Amino acid sequence: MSSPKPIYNNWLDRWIFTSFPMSAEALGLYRILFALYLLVWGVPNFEWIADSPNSFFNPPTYSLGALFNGFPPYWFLQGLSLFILALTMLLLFGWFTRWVSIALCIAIVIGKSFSFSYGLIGQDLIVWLVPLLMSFSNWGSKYSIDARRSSAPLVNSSWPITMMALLLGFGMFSAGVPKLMGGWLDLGTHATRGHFFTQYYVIGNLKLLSSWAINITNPFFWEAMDWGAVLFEILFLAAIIKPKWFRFWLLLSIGFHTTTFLLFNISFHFQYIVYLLFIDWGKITPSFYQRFQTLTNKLINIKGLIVLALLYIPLYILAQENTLQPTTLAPSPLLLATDLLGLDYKLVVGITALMAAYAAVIWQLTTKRNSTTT
Amino acid sequence: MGSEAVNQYTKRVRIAFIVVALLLPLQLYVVVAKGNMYPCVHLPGFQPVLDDEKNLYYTDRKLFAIDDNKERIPLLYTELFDILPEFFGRHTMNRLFLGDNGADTISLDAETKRILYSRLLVLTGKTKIKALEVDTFGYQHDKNNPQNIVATLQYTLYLNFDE
Repeated sequence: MSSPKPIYNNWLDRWIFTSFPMSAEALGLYRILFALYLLVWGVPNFEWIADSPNSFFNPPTYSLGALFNGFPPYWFLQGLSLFILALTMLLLFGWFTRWVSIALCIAIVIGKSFSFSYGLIGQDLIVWLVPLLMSFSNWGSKYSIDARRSSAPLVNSSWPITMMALLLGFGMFSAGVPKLMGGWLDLGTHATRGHFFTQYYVIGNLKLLSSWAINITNPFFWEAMDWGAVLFEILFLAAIIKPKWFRFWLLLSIGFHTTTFLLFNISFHFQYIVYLLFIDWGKITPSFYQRFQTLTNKLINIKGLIVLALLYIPLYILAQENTLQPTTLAPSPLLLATDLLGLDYKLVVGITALMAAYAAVIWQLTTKRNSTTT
Repeated sequence: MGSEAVNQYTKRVRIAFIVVALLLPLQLYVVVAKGNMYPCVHLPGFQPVLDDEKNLYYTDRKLFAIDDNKERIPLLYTELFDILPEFFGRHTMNRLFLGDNGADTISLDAETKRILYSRLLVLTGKTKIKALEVDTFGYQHDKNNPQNIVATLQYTLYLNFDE
């Protein structure tokens, strides 16, 4: 059954529905990449919260945490963490994809409400909105158990990607406005340098280029950082108007995150999986999708799901027995691998994520668009 | 899906976008008007830092300028952080993590000391300051019952201006 092709008569509808087109194949591929990203880089785990004394409980006024008097008990946090892990596996295999995607977002937001109740609100919320919004795109219609179970083809939508662009633009704009109002453009202060001091002296982020940057006293350097950060974040919202501008801004964003990683040792690696949504998916050839279909025909089934779940049991036990920093995400194969090799997990995650982001940029810039796919 | 259904769907999605777009001013209100904004040089309050092995949290510090009459005038560390970042950061934190429960007198190079002294005069409104005191606290919690504080460590730094 085919649907009539909608005609969009006004600019707003064209922007909403046609800015970031993705085929059913591209949506299925992205769903698998998103789930794999979580399973390899780290599924959110909230068990560590149970170790904190309630004297640290300080939830934001407008949050789920504000409805409680303290941190939840261990059994709840462990159950929540295992539930999230199970949902991520189901998402990878595309089983009940829409409901699993929505449940994954809700479960993570519940956990984050408590992990953001220490006085610090993390910046990764945008990542957890991806499964919620993409559930409306029908990203489970290809390379999934759902595709095998359902006889009627699902209609795919690309408006959730435009919505993600809008939310990303809002997030950046909301980060830029307080800086603008707080005087970051004042030539007499160096706000970035103030942050940098905190990272260096208090938190102890001394790796990569931070020891070199601590000696930079040139006022033009630090003032340029202040201005660059404010303008970049404020103008992000304007860039959502045209997909080309938005992609250019994402490129700037990767450069921005690279600087933050090298100087402040903060990786923002979680942002790249969101940025991946906005690449030009038409550059993937039909032959790639055919090969990918053949591969997923063999792997995406109930048997594969059971095998993956069994593989994760020893990984989970190992993660439990290792001494983990309270904010690390576990169980994660990458975390365990770096732990066993004696490497710095945060550095490895930051470097591998940056390399993947730059590889994607190079591929997008050097590959011609395929006219037969969208 | 028939064309009428497609039109209805398009309309619903359009409304969803407009609703989300209207949330931006609300979000800005929460961020800006409720005071969650970055000051010029944003130096946030210290987050608790945890030493896993000892279950020790490095959480608090207090600063005092001590005047001629030995009056202790409280200061905010953010007011001096740009001059003396290391004294509020790793140095004191490391001492606490080593189990230090004592006090030290520190010395500074002449130029830094001059800048610091001028700042203290402005902040306190006094004409003479004898010393600066930086108290850093760590709280050790019972691993099995995190609500119980089993030990409090205090590490104090004095900077004398009388020398």
